[in-house]
Amino acid sequence: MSLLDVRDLRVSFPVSGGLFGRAKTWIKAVDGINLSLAPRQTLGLVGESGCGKSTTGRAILRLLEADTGTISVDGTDVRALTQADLRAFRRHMQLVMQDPMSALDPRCTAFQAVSEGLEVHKLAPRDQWRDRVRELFDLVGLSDEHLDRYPHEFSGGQRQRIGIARALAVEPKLLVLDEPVSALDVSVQAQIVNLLEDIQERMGVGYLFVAHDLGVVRHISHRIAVMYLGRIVEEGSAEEICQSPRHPYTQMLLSSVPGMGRGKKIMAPPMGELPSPSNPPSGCVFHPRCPMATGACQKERPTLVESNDGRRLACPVV
Amino acid sequence: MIPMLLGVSLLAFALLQLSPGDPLAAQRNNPQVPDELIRRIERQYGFDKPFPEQYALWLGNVFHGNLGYSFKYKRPVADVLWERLSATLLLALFSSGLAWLVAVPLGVWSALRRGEWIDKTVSVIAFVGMSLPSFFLALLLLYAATMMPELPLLGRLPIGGLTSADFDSMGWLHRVWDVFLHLLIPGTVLAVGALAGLQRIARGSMLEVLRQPYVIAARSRGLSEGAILWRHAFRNAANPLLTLLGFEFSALLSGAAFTEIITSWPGLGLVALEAVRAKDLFLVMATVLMGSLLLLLGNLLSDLLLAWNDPRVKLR
Repeated sequence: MSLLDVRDLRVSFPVSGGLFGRAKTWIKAVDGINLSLAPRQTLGLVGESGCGKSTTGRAILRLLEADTGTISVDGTDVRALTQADLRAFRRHMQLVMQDPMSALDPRCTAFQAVSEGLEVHKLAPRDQWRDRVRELFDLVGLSDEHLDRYPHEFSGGQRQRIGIARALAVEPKLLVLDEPVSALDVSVQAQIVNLLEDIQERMGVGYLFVAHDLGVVRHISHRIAVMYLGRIVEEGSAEEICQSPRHPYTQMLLSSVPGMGRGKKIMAPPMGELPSPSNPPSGCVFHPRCPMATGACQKERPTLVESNDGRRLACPVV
Repeated sequence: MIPMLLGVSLLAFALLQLSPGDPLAAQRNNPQVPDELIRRIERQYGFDKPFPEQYALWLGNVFHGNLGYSFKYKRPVADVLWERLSATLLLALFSSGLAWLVAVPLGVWSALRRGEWIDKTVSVIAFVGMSLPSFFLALLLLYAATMMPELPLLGRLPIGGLTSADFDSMGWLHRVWDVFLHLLIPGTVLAVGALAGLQRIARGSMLEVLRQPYVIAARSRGLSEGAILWRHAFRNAANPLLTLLGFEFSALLSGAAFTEIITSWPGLGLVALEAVRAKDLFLVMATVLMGSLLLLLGNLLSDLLLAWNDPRVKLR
């Protein structure tokens, strides 16, 4: 059984326009996607900013409500949970946020931030919190002297470690990592990615790793899904996606990463801007930026087809 | 703090010297006061000396705790000021307490119900309150207190002063009640003025904080909405409010003059106005000094509260 199973997930946001904000249009941030993640594995979700990858992560954790679709985490239908059950279930699925500066309450010490989960889900008696938090700090590479410091006394990388410890405190099965390293220095990025790999090995937690940088995702992911304008355009093992990308968009993404995609069919980095999701292009949403687009691409929306080797691709041309 | 007080006092002293008239005008115009006596008073208080010397003399006296003599009230300035100060302090505490108790919950509530009818209604009321001049509201309330039927429980509200005529014959509980009734109209007027702005700021900073990632992170850990609100959101939203507290409080202490005059509340504002009109030099100087001192104390108070609430603020 898979740890995470997402079927036909759709999320849209109302945007008010017009003179008095009466005219409402809807932005389809996530437009019918399917994802699946095996236990103890990492699924990388990659795409440009604004493609809906963070929204997908938030919708899976039910931090925002999806329009349709089913989300099953460890066999539980998350969208069917009542508010009270959802709060209790949250210990099984946790979030690590992008910006470590604002992800920690400036008024809570590192200890308070991490122990709060123990308190909410009654995972340990109060007198054991301190020991438990010490263990977690040890796990993420912080020391005891950091326990009673406030967030502003830490560096960005240290804060992200606190954020990870905070999420791990409740022993989740699924961790949604929403661009966990993109706000950090490159040298610190590598440390955090290594740390996350370590933790997965030790605790057996599954990751949904959301990022815009294929270079980061490649090393940690078992599988990678590439997202464009609310849809998955290609999915496969990390190796396959990075070695032999098929979808033109994946190829473009790869060529934009320095040191990757070299020596293969070279493609220019993505041209132009991401179109507005409130008024997406007809047919294949990628066709205005695609160098291989044909007349048919403007009319027909390609479906995500799974081939025999387990890869999924939404492009009839290649 | 000290240099600022010196600057303010020097400026006020100079302005008073430059304006026409003098503190002894009433005595001078009285044919029964002999010229000889006036000259003696002038010598006694140094009015015959040049300006810098007068200022130095006054300053020296202030440092020795002597604020001088009020020619209008014919009593030492310190005595006049002391009883007025306590009345103003009482009014400021009452009205800012009232404003905070109403405005902060309303602001938080509006933020949580953003865009719903309750938020819009509160916003409209807040803007009306903000736009209503305090003297006008004071007059309205005084009119209502006289012309409307008696209120249940409170009875007919007194329309001026600090105490009733038979105050001295009351028991202490009755006295407290009497002062409270007198406080209601001026206190409400001042509270309404402060309330609107406070509510807007409470709402705004609450909205700001509710968007923060750490609030989303708290929700994702399974905290209840109540715990998120009080433990993470409100304490962070309180910073701008605490900064404002110092200003509000000192503004109420010195800026309540209009309301004090209309509701004849025997506070600092009223005495300052009367002192300026009578060119009662030492009394004016003392009220100016008191006003600036209270402003500084108000800011000190809000700094202390900020340091208490926010671990990032360190007192040196």
